[in-house]
Amino acid sequence: MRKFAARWGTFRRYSGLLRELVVRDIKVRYRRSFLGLVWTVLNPLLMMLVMTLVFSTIFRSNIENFPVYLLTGNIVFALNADSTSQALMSIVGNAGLIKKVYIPKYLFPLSKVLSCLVNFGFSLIALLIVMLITHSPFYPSLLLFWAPLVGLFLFSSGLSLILSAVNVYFRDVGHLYSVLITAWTYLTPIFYPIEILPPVMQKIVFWNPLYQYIKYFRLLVLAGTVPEWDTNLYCFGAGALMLAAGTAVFKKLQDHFILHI
Amino acid sequence: MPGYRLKNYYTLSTLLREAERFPCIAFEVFDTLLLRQFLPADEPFHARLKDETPAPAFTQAELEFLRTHMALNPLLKKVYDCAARAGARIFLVSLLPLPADFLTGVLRETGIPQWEELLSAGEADESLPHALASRAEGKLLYLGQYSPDALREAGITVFRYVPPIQRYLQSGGHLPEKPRTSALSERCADTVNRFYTRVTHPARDVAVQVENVSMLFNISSERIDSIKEYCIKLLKRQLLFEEFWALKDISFEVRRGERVGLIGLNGSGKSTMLKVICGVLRPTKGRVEVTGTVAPLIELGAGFDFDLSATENVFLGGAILGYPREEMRRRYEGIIDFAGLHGFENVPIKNYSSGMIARLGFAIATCHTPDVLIIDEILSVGDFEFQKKCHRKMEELTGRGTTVLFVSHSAGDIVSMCDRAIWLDHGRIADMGEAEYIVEKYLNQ
Repeated sequence: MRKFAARWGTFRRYSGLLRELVVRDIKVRYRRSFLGLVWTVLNPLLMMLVMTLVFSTIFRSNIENFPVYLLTGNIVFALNADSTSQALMSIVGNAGLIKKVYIPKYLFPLSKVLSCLVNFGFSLIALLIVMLITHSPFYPSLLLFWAPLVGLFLFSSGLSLILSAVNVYFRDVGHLYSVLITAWTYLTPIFYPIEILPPVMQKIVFWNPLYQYIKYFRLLVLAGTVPEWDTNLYCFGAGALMLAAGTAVFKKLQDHFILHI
Repeated sequence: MPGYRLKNYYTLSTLLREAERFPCIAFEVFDTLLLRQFLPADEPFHARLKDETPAPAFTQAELEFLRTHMALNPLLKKVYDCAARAGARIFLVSLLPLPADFLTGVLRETGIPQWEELLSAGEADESLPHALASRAEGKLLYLGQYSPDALREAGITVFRYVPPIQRYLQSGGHLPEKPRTSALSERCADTVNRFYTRVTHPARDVAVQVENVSMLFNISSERIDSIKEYCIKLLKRQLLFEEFWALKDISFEVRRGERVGLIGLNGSGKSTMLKVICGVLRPTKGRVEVTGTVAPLIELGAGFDFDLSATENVFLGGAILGYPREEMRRRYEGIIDFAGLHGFENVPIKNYSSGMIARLGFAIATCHTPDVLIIDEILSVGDFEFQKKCHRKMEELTGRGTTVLFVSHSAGDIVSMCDRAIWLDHGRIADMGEAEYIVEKYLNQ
């Protein structure tokens, strides 16, 4: 218990740094661009536009309000994909700092996930714009939009911790993971409905956590219903498990980071 | 009188150890024996010093020579502080008839403002020693030319003064021969060293405690960064690591407000030691305990983002050191002032010169009064003006009770800035004790 209190104390002390790191990420990302922060909204909008143009002709019959369907899937998936692939390099990229000053090292992957979460907030503006344009109904369940995000935040943090730690030892992880992300994109029903998959694939995709988070989010936004307990259990359970695994791996490996970066 | 009998190098330490026993202390500066020992033999007045009794009067040229070749030991201020803390009174005496303005000039270099009375050589009153010895206040006085006997009679202990090693270091790193030491003074030197810390820091306030710390590194013949290499090495059974102990069973304590220097050759483990103390490295064995906040100055500007402006980096840098944002906002003006960056606050620091970045880094790290300041060889950057500023800032911090750990290859810096030195050799402590004594020993190894 005392150990936990000490950890919490350290975290409190460095929460300012976490904030600075997140702010830095956001500032640096669009620093030299003309439109600056507008890009955080514009980016998902343009993406949606392109993909709608390409895919809507194929899937139009099955899905109502395809733009919103696509955008919801896309931004939730992007939250996980962006945060984990940025976090992947976070330890190696901050080698200079880690070698010189004592900082709790988990702050680096965590700051990446948080800055992507802030980014996600801007994407929500894009979502609202699209919903207004397409005249989609605003359900009261929308107010629960944060619920799947909490689960996904835990999940992404856990995965980020694992990836950033393992990447210190094996730099191949970066290359491998970018391939994996592509595969993951296609295995997640972002721009297609899950029903078009053969039954075997549907079973596999069911165990893809990202599918569950997206489903949760879509149920809130598109269907106006709150998911059953099993989806809830799955989402939060997967998040908690991944975070536990990530913490365990990170904790075991972190003492030797400095010898490898 | 034990103080007078002991030979040159150990007298300061003895003084420090014995400070409680000797309420009145006089330093002998510029006596004939001392001058002869350190002057080149072909110097014209070398012979005169030897032959003429009483000591000869100096010509203007000879005085000029002395002025350029002798300086009062930079340690004098430190000794003065220590003795004053222990309640002793210190006087300076010269056994040579040196003119008053000459001595004033030399004394000014020591940086002690409290020289109270200056009596020119030969003019001093016979009864003055007694008057001094009965004074209650511990001011530093210059007495002019007095015979040690008169002082001793009055109860003032006379110590022979150590010549400064800095001058000799500057003249090509050539140190004078170590003077003869009797077995007695050799023994004393060790005792002195052990007691030194006790006297300088009587309150046992430990700021940094290092207990049996060992640090093991695995140096594999090649670094393995990829899965392919790892598998190949695993199959070939080449995953054996070579063991290297960077630190082996190191124990020491640093008391609050103490300034400790680490010296040693390259690869002796100095930087590793600092990293262990900062918490950057976790020791393989042993324990390090640091009381209070640590500000590491291992590399100025570590953690800066070069795309951000100075203002943004002040907050980022402060956060890295764990200072709250509110506090950084309050100290912001002071930081920009110290770094001399007015008018450049909003320029991305990638456009800065390396000196500007170093100044900003130093200003951020020292804006707050940390409990422990760790400095690794960083003051070599920047121009001399900035270095002077840094030295002053560090004086100011130690004045406020900050503990300083300092790594440098410059023996002069260690002597002038540290109270105590730890000499590391191949990951072990070769010796530790009073800075000057250790540096001396290290250079003569």
